[in-house]
Amino acid sequence: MRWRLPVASQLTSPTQTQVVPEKSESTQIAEPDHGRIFTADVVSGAPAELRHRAVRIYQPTRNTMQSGSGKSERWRIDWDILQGAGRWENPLMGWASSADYMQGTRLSFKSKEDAIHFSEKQGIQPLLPGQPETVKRISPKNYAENYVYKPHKLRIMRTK
Amino acid sequence: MLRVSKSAALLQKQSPALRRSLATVADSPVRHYGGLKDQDRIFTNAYCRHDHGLKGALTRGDWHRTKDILLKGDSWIIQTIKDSGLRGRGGAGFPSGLKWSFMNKPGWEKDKRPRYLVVNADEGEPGTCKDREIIRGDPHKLVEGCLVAGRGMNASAAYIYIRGEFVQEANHLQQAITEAYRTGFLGKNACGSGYSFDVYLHRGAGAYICGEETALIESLEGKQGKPRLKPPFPADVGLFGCPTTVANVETVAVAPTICRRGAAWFAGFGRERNQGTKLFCISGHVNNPCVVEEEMSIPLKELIERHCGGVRGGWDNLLGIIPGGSSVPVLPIDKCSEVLMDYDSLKDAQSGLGTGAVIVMDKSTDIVAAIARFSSFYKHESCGQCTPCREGTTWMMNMMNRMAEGRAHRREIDMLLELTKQVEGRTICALGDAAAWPIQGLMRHFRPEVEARIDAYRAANGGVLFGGRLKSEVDQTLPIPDNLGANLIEPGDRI
Amino acid sequence: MLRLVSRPTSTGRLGKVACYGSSPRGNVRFCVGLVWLLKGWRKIGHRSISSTSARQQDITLTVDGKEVTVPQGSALIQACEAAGSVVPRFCYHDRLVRRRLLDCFMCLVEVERSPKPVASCAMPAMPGSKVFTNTPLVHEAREGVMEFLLANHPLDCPICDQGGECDLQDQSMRYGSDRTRFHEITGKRAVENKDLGTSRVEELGTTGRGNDMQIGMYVEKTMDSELSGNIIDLCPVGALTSKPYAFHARPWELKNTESIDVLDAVGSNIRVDSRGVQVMRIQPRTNDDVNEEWISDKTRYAYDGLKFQRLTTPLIKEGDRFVPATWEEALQRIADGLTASGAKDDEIQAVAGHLADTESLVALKDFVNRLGSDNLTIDQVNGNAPPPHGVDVRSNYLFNATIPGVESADVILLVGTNPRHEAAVLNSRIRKSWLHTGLEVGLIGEPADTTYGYDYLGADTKALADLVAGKGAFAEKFKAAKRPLLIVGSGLSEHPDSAAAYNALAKFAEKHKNTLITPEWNGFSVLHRIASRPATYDIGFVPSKRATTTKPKFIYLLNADEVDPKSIPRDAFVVYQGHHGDLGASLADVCLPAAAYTEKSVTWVNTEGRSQLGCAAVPPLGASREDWKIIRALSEIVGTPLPYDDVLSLRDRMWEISPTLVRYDMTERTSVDVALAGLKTLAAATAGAKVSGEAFQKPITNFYQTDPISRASVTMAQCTRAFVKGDKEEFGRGHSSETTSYA
Repeated sequence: MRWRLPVASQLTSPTQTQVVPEKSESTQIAEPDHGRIFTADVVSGAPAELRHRAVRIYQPTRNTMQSGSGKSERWRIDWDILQGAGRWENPLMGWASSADYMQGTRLSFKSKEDAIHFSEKQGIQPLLPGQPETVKRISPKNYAENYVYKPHKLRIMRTK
Repeated sequence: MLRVSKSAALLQKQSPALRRSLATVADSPVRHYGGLKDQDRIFTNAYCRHDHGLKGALTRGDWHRTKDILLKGDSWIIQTIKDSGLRGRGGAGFPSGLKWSFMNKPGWEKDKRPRYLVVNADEGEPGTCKDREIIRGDPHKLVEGCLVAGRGMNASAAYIYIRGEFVQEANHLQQAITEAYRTGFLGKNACGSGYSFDVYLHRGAGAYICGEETALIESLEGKQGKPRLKPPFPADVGLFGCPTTVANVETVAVAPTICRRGAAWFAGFGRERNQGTKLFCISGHVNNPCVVEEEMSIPLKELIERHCGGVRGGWDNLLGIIPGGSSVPVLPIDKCSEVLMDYDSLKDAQSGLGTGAVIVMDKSTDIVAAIARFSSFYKHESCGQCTPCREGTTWMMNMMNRMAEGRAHRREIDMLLELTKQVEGRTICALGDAAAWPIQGLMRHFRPEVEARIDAYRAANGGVLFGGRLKSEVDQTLPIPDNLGANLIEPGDRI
Repeated sequence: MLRLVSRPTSTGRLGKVACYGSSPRGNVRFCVGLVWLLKGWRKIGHRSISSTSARQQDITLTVDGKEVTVPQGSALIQACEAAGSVVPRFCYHDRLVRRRLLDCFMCLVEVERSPKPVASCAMPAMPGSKVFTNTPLVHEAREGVMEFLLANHPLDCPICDQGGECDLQDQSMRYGSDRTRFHEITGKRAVENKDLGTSRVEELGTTGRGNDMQIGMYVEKTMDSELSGNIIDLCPVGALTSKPYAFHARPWELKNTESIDVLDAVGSNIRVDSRGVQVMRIQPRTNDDVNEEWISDKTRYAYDGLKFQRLTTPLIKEGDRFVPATWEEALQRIADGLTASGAKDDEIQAVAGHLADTESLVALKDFVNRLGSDNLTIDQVNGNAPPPHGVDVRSNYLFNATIPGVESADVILLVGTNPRHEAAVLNSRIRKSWLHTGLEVGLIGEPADTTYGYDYLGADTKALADLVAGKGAFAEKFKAAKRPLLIVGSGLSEHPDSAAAYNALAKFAEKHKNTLITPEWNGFSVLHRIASRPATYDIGFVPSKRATTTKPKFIYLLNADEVDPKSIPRDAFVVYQGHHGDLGASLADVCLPAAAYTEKSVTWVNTEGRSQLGCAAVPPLGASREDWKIIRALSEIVGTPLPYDDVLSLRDRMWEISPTLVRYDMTERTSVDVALAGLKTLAAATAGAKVSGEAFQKPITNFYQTDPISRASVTMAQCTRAFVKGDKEEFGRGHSSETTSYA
């Protein structure tokens, strides 16, 4: 996963776009302005400290336990855990408790742009992947390769 | 259970339609095959009545002007084999000349790798004992064959992979190889032809699967005998990664004689596309079980009557014949009366020539138990590499063992057939197919016998669930899943 | 100004950031950016060598009606995958050689003009062929195979460790029949549990034949390898499972956090799976540039060390015992101690330990510098002297060839290193290359079982000198190589002869500069074994010449647990900051509890100079805090507050020191000119060094215990007993191995 620091433009973008259209008196229904970001942050009532939490946007990697690559196409937003008393174990049952209301929150998006758009809307400054994923370097698999003639000294003793 | 009946219907649809292949169409006006004359026999010491050593071999014409054959070159040898119509005698029946020619692809001279001929003497198929006779009585034919075939494919060495149990045979063969080296027939400048050729003998460790082409190569390399997928074909990447051709003992051993007596002589025997002579091994319920060299396309009935003194208790006492070793389906008596012993005729009869091992069973035979025994054999010999074969052979064996007893449900017959279809063609090598075919043959021709047995067991012991549990053993107070067949009504049940 | 250049444009295009210049690091570190600007935007994000090597011809075929182009020689399954058609498989794995113990036949597909369904993982893709992966025949075939697979499968999914992340479960959902037909009275097959321990490729095998076959080691012994844990991942089902993790958690309970490993300097990408406040297991994460998808056993199993021996509260030494204290008390005590010790300037010493993260190193360096000291010491032998290779030119101390680049080398010379223990994942790349290509390896140093063959050239500087002189067959091989690779162990700089050795190496590299250092390839590579070390050098955490000889009065140990107690003066005031009560803590007057690597989101620089951002998975234990915050707080109490209040401004400071520290997930190649200039400086600085002739030593004698975390781990202790001390008998009794088999 590739990380970048928050983008300067994103730091300022919420304030730039907080302007609510003033044409409300008009009887016509306003066309939604797709180019601008409506700041959900203003009306969401989310606590202000949420904006200072470290948030990552990333694409999860495949689970190495399995061959399928499901769920690795989506982009995820999740919140870094709170330092300090973000989580503790319940002494009676051993269950995990938490004072962090974001610790179980994980949002999935179809694309990175969607995720960025969402976080800008919410006034969150996420850490973004800075570079496209590296290409998978898987060499062609050739079955015959196991049996071919090697002129040099034998380097592996195949017993099966 | 819909699937079962559907596939059963499919099976039935296929079975009566006898596909006529080319050879049947091309049947010329009646020509009778069989009755090979003594002067046309290739393996004149198959019964080991004479000296198997070099001296005896020379008197029988082996190593006679081998140098001239070698000097004629690779393309001449291969063309002769092609013209003779020789097909592989190991079971698959692939045209040998064509197979050998794969070694000489354009530009093969530039390939610096060594090239090998591997002779498959790991004869393990139940019922088959022809290679053993050749090696025991006529080892020099095989050694000379290695040289001639090796020259044909420009091989630098031949490996003979002999079955570990063949102790005397290995001794005879090693003696023949040593004698050939000593007289200069092998080694550097073999037979004075300027061609260098080595022959090595390698004894196997007793696995049926090592008779499979690629598993044999693996075993020779010192690994577990587990077949390889193709491609890569051995002619490209074979033994130790070098171009290799694996051939049966009989195929190799007849090559010098063909080259000496001419392709036309050999092609004169048998029907079109099935030419030549062949060693047949007849065992089972005949008066005189034997290995005999006969012309291809000899009628099965004549083969048995002429050489084996007929079926025990007369032809009408015959139950069925397995014409080509344990891997091919059994034929009932009516088919046995009309088939010819060659690749195409037996294929049309939904069986196969295989190795030419004729197993005769008279009416005293428990045919179900016999096939169940085959299933046990394949279960034991499955190398376990491919899932369908590893799991399938065990499963089929378990079911066959139950059916031999009758402890099964009628519907399981169709399920068993479907299992065989799930194994067939889903494995690397032909062992999966070979395990499936005898069962298919049994059900094709002897299904009533199996059903009768199941009914009899049912009558004696009450209902049987899928999987062989007796209904009486099941605690009736517990709910039994419906898919165990406990409540299915069968013909003959009293309701 | 400089920073703006690299930041993305307002359109939010992020890809551009990948382009950057070659990064010469001059003496004046702060001018780095300028030099780099002057050089211009010349060279570009570094792609690995293998991807630039000559491509094989491509072929085109049709999969499910979709045309797809793949390199010649690809397997059919790869073509299907490229076309987006999912082919189920068990026995095939992208990164393994095709030949396995068994063939599952799950990957059957239909190919036009082929009478039988074809096993796509072994069949080469043929140009122009038409492949179908979704026909009735294919489904019927797969259902058949699935039925056979499940015939002997127990119904233990609810208690199986693989449950929830099992290929067999998933594929039987998709391809399996909804009811069984296997009711045989003979019952199912089972084998006894086996302990496999912690593989070399040829070690696992099958015995017996057919349905009675068993999978296991050929002889009842345990596997001795640093990468054996990966077979747990490779096994598609629950036959091979992790013993420490066995029956502890289910996959759906776990929270996955994608992070970075710090137990060696490879910087393996890991996924920390945690439940509540506990790390339950550590899994590899795919990154072809670093660890592909493997991790070493230490990385995988040492996590239980995070539970033991932890410092959870600040401790103040009263007499001969530690007394728990509050943070205020502890920090005030340090401030008082600093004053009382009378330490001035270089008498204030900071020691950078193995597990110190970049943020805290920067903070500590700034803090100590502000107190007027340059006494920045590294926690290693000779750590109080400037390293022989210097820190001015980056290519002198980094693994310039890059980790994937190792595979394109054709001759490798190892000097004073055993990569098997110092970078196990990288070693597997060397082994892979050695097996499949004609790679030649030479070794100078202590002989070791590297899992591949090598030419042994000697153990000391004399062997090195001979090589430089061109004596011996290996020198010829190196000369003839197209892509030679020189791997210098990190232990070399701790050796008494380090200066002489580096001098010889610089000359050797100079001699082979035509092949060793080219625009595409820099084969002069230093292999670090300590996670913090490249960052330590990157930020210039090295003492000045004057400081080297100063006797410290105040010592700040940052995660430093390898210090020689004798090197600490009796009257010095010692502060230890770290997460384990290991050696360093025992020497301290005040212990400050800090977070371990799974508990903080910080920057790590691996041996290639690739900076990667870790991610906190669980909260720090007890009262412990993130490292840099502790130093920031202390600086305020001492009265020289550091100018950053949050991690973002701290990273801005890191940017000022070296932009590479915050350009995550990239390696930057040093240009040929700078690399050669660096070597020249190196040769000049080390000229005329004395030679003691002592043999080079392996820096790691016990792979399983190299740092406080692995020393606290029970599993690693058992591995040590089993493999290092050879106590196999105890091991065989069956409670100490990592891997167990329920085949």
